[in-house]
Amino acid sequence: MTSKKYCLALFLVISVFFIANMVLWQTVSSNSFYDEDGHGDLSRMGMINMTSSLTHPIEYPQKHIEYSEVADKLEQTHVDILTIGDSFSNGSGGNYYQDYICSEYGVSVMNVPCRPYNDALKTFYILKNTGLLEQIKPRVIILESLTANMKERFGMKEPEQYDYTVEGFNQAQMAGRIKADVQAQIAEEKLAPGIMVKANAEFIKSWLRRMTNDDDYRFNDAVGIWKLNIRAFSNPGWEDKLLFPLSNANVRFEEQVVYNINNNLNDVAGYCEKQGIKLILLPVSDKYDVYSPYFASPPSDWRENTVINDLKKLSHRYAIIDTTNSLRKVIESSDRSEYTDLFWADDMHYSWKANQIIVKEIMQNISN
Amino acid sequence: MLFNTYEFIIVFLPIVFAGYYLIGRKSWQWGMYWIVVASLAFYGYWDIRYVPLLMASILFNYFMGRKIEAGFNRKKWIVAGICGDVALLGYFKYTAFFLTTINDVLGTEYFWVPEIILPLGISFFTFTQIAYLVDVYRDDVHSANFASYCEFVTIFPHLIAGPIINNREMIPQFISEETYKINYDNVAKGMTLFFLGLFKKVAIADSIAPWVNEYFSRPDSLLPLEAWFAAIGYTFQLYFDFSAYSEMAIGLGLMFNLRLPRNFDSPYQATSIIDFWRRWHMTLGLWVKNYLYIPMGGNRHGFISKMRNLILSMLIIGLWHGAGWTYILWGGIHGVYLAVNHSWRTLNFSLPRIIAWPITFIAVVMAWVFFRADSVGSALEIISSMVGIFDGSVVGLVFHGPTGVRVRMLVAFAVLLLFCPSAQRLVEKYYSPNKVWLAVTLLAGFVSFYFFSHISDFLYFQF
Repeated sequence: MTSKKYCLALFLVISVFFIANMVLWQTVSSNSFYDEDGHGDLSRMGMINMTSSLTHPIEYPQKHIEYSEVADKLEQTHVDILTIGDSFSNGSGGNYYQDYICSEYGVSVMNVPCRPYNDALKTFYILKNTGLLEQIKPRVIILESLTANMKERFGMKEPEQYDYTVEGFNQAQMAGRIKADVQAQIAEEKLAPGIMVKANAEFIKSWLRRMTNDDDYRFNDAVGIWKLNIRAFSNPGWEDKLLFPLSNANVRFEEQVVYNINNNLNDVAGYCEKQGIKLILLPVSDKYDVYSPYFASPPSDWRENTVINDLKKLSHRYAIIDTTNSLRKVIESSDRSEYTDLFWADDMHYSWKANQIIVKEIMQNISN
Repeated sequence: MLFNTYEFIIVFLPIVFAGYYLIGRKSWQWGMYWIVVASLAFYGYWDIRYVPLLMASILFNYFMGRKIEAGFNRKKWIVAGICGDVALLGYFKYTAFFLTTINDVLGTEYFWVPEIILPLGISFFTFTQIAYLVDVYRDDVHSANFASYCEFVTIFPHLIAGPIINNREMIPQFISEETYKINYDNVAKGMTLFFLGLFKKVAIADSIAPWVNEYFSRPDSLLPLEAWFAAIGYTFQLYFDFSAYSEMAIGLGLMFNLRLPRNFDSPYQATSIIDFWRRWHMTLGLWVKNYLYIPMGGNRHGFISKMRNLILSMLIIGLWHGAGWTYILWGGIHGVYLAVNHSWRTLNFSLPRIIAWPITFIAVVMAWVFFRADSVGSALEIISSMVGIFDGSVVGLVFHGPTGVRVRMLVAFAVLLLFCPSAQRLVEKYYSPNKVWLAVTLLAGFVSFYFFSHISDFLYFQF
């Protein structure tokens, strides 16, 4: 091969590559990536062109307090409920459930995001060991985690307690907040200038999989889809289709893990009792677990994550919010408008509808 | 404009490339004008307001050069020229730093600290031109007309982050008719090197950046293991980022028939600090040696003055990188390293490679912490966390999840850096225009475009 041919081949292939990508992006994949009403990223991860949800996030009049806003004046800040948790506690899905508590029940809620480890138990111990918890003085603590992640977060034999200073913790909180703000800005302004090739590659991969295996429930390595025998969503054409992340699906914990989770939470509850604090565990049930009784044709190897029920059976010193049960009760109610869009169809997070149902349970539990 | 953007790759580069050879075929002088105008457009894309500043700097230095060359009051003109350059750099880069330092020392807010935007690449084009003036003064210069001088300073592959070029090597290339005639061997080699550099930048350096930034943003809360991840991660990120830029610049130069000097030569394979500085940012090292260390006396006045000159040179290198105590300290640490290394050499006892390499590598990693940290206090926090690992504390070490990914990345990059030659060496040694190299280059290009998920600056743009 001569250098001239080498250059021409390189130039031609790169040019064709760019033109093909731009055409694909303009005609198909940008619609999946930047759909009109994107609450989450399941449709994006699966490169699925979905219709928009007829439900939209709503605004609550009263706002909760974020830890980073008052880190330097904790003693002067009145806090009734302290929430510590993952993305469900940090506004993913369009609404903070804490804002609904503040608006509807007139109590003061402070949220401490799990930074930097995305682990409520580690964050709790940092707050306790640094003395910050004593300064916050909440009446109630809500520890939240997605059930699928409870094994790695709460299920170890001995929880790791990191040696943090107040300055270190505040720094991590601020750094996390800046990162979250930047990500929110990127999502809002749809800034992702170089995403074209990545989105196109995902689209082609998913398309090839559907072409060769049209009865496969996996769209690609990240996203699966099942048909339901109820109409769970308001997105036209997608009412009875459940999109879900494959990575966490079909998980059931070993008995020992459930014991460990319970022991670790009992230790936390024991400490809280001494301080006059009520501990509430908010295990956020996964989308596929909530809807598993309604699968039109469940796979033979499907196992529901039963950790909430398993914990309830054990002796526990903390309150448990049975989110699976609460949401199923509503699904089984006759009013369709109540049970559509409890989760966003293209996301794994709760919509404000599910948040309101869960909050009622929480507040009932607190008042008991 | 950044090399790793669609604007550059799809629009700017093809237009400038085509124009360069089409115009150059008719008249090489017009080819030269074309590349100068294109380079100014490249610079102005960042902020058009600073193009006049760049032009003023070029005019000033060219005028000074002519005056020195004229042979009358040469010393006065060289002093005036260097003072002018240093004043320009000092104003834009160091004013805020020095006023803040004075305010801090006096414990007052006596001086108002202005907010001055640092023009892109000012350190590079100023150093390039100081060297030119000194070379003119030493009668060690290739004569240049104004257009070729403009090309020497502005040519876009090297304008904003080097390599720092030398007039004797470059001016003859600029004024050669052959430079403006297409040479497919050079274009092919240049494209290959450009895409390999692009791969290093977007697929490797940018994939390390998010977690390195996260760790350095919370120095007070790092576990020992995280502190090591931060330090080693940054060590790799900086190398992959800056060497990628240099290779892309050299590749682009070749596409325009220009041979830019090598800037990196597998620096993390160095077995001593002296060796490291022969392999890291080589054009800056050469600049400091020729225009600072040797004029200060070099090693000509005994051991003590040699040590003093070394440490002073490194402190200036530190200050050149940025107006902050962290950079000065980083330069000072390397100065001390070099002094120790030179002293050790006088003992005529060399350590085996298996001991010398890790000592050198750890020393370099530790120094990078100062270079990257937001403040000296933060750097000390991170170093103290790193030292904590010797208590046997490996809390947080897992091989799954994000931590597992980081461990695997660091191990893979370490192996790559330790045992593989640099992309430039690979191309120089093994490249030939065949199907294998075509496939490798295309693959590097496709993977790079796949990783264009975000556009990030090159780290060395800030210097």
